[in-house]
Amino acid sequence: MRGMLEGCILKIISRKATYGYEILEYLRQHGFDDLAEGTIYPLLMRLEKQGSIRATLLPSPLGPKRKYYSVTPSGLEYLASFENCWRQIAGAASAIVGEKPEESGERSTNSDL
Amino acid sequence: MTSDFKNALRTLTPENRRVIRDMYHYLGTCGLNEVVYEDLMSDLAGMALESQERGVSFSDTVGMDYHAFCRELVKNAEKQSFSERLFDVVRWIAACIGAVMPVMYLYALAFPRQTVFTEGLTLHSPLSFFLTYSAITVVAVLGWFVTKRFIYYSQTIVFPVYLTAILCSFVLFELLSVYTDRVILELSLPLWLIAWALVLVLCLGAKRLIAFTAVHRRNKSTK
Repeated sequence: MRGMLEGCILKIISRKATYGYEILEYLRQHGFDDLAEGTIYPLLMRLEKQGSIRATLLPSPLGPKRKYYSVTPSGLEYLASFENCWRQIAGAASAIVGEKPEESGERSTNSDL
Repeated sequence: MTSDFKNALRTLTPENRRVIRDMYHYLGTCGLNEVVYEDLMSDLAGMALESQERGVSFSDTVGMDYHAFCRELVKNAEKQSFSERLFDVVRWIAACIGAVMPVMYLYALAFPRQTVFTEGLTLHSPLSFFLTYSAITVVAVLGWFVTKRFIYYSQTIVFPVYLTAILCSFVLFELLSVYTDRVILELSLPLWLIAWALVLVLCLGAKRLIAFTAVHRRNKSTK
């Protein structure tokens, strides 16, 4: 889940430089309803620490400057490898989850033999 | 504390201010790189302000127990390098020992004794007396940081260990006084204060420089 969220966050940031709350709103709009800023903030820190994203401080209408994140070249590499992994996992998972009952029944009969 | 952070604190509701202050004190004991720590606190205060504007409490924004959130932050944030840590510890030890002498001077001025007394701006004291109270102050102050750091883990153990450490340092230095009692110190108050300020400024400057260099190096490598 954590790795998947990191990948999603990187993907969002790769589209345009953005800040924490905007990322959270985007994730919520796309089905991550239970997420809080407290969940994604440490992930942003982790990505920044590993050099996948970098932060630029820009003025905010409220209080302290706001951090806008953008992807670094190594972040793009990381994102590409995440996308490859994700396609494989999603393909494998949907093949199993989407399997029709008769196909799975056939397999269990074969294994009984 | 940066000015951004101070300004944000003033604008926060009392409840959000309490949470942010608690985080500030806790994270301050976790050995984070100084620049990263200031940056982080400014970010958290901004986050609290924005959630306040949206009518949501900061605890709801964080979405979990905020102590757990802090621990998660510590796991992911850049830590102090060895040299930064060293200057940090030396700074606190110097601050503690430095404060002992003026306090002893005032004490001796108010209650002069045969062994501990003042002469103009000079303090006369046995080495053992000075060492014992310096050690107790260092253990009490550094121990307080450790106590704050582990307070969320095992509250029943932390305070007894803290008090025992203070007591042990007192007993240990009292035992050592057999060897150090004969040496009498003559300390000049103005010289002491100058040296104290110099050591503190040097340690602070060195610590900040090391923290900035570490962050600058990291930023350079990601470009």
